[in-house]
Amino acid sequence: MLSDISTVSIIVSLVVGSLFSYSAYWALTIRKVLMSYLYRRQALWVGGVATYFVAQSAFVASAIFYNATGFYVNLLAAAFIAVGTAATFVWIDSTVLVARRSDPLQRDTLHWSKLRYFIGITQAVGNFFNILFNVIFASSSGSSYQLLGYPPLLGYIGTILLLGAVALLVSARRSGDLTLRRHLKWFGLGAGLLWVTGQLGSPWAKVGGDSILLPIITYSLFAIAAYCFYRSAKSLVPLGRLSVADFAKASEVAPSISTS
Amino acid sequence: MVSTGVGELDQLLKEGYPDKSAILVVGPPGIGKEALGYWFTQAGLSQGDFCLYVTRLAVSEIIQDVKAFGAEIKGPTMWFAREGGQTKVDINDLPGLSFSIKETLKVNGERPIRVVTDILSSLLMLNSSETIYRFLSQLLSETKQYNAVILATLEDGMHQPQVLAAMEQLFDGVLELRLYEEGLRVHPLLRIRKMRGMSPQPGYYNFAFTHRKMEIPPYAK
Repeated sequence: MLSDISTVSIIVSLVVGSLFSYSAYWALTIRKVLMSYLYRRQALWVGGVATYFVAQSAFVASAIFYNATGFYVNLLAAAFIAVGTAATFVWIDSTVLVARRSDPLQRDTLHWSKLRYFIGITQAVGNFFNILFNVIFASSSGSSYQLLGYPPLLGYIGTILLLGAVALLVSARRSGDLTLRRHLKWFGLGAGLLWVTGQLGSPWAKVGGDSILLPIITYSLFAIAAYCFYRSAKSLVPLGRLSVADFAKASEVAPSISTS
Repeated sequence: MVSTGVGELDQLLKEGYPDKSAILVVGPPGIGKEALGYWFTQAGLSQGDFCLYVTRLAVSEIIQDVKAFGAEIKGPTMWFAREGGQTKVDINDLPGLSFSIKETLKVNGERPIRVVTDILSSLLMLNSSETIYRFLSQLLSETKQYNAVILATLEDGMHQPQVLAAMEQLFDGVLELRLYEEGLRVHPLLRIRKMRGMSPQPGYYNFAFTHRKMEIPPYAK
């Protein structure tokens, strides 16, 4: 029988998963109609990170529902963390490169062209040890998937986000690109909320004892973060809307053009 | 008329861009507006026109992008670029930039001239729109004394709408490439906002880039 907290966790995981699916759909749809490699790569990784959160939500919901534990569950949880950090890093990297292209003076913010290798190597080594420790130690301590679902995003991913966030903020400020700023504003808000949910899941947040209120707040914030992510995916490029009058005009003048 | 380098666009514009005109291509970053500049240059080189490419990027970055679109810029192109060009572009030095362009056109004035540039958005970010309006107004009127067609790209979504409107005023033709949302789909659409010698065109056209060409079938809902 599932506890109240588990039921709430599963429901919210499904809601969050749906929101992230929608974000991934928009990011990948926009990617299809973009032509420039840099911008296609950025849209791809926004879609990639959103897809990661969909998979993560599904994994957490399933693990809670089936009360899954054991070596392979821990291994899978560790793999999720590894993929999450890698996807987040590549998203940040692709966005910093776009921001650099938008900067009139093409400045290399925080020497990102070099720093990206350092961060990339660091997170690869970190991921290796993370998986190792999960496999060796977590099997004896129970459900390590809770690291993913409770909090939804670890401080580990948060560290990568924090390092990249500094580069992104400076780059966006330098570029003066209103669309990029809008995209980063929503992504930043989402990432900030994910970080807060991570803190709410940490042991010090439970000093006052276990309360159902804490997971409800945590998952609500996670859902809001997912909404922010959806808005960031849709603001990758300015999207216009055609009015009914525009459609009429378009069909009136639709010329016949032979394709060569 | 001067060929755009894209057969279907030439048909839409009744043979191409008007002689001695300034054309602005507006669109969000990444949509492919630069490709119009690549094909315009490619068509010019194949006809023996003098081609000047003024870019805020390095020549190698442009060449890489040109290849990605299946175009080729082969031939004696004059590059004003951040790196790798005959003249180094300093976008903080407006008078110097203006002087270099005019001198180059003067020296090569006996041939038809094609100028392509992507620096307008950068200039607008570093200077007030009034400054750029005056700079561009003067530069365009002087370059039109030669047999030149200028094609400039401007980033949509980077500037305030009133700045875009002011810039559009300076050009003889404005092509808009935009993404439009319709339900769960996104359409890349092209619109001829204005073109000297043509009646206003209210229609939208789908466009798609395939290898080595741009396809523009009419938009139908």
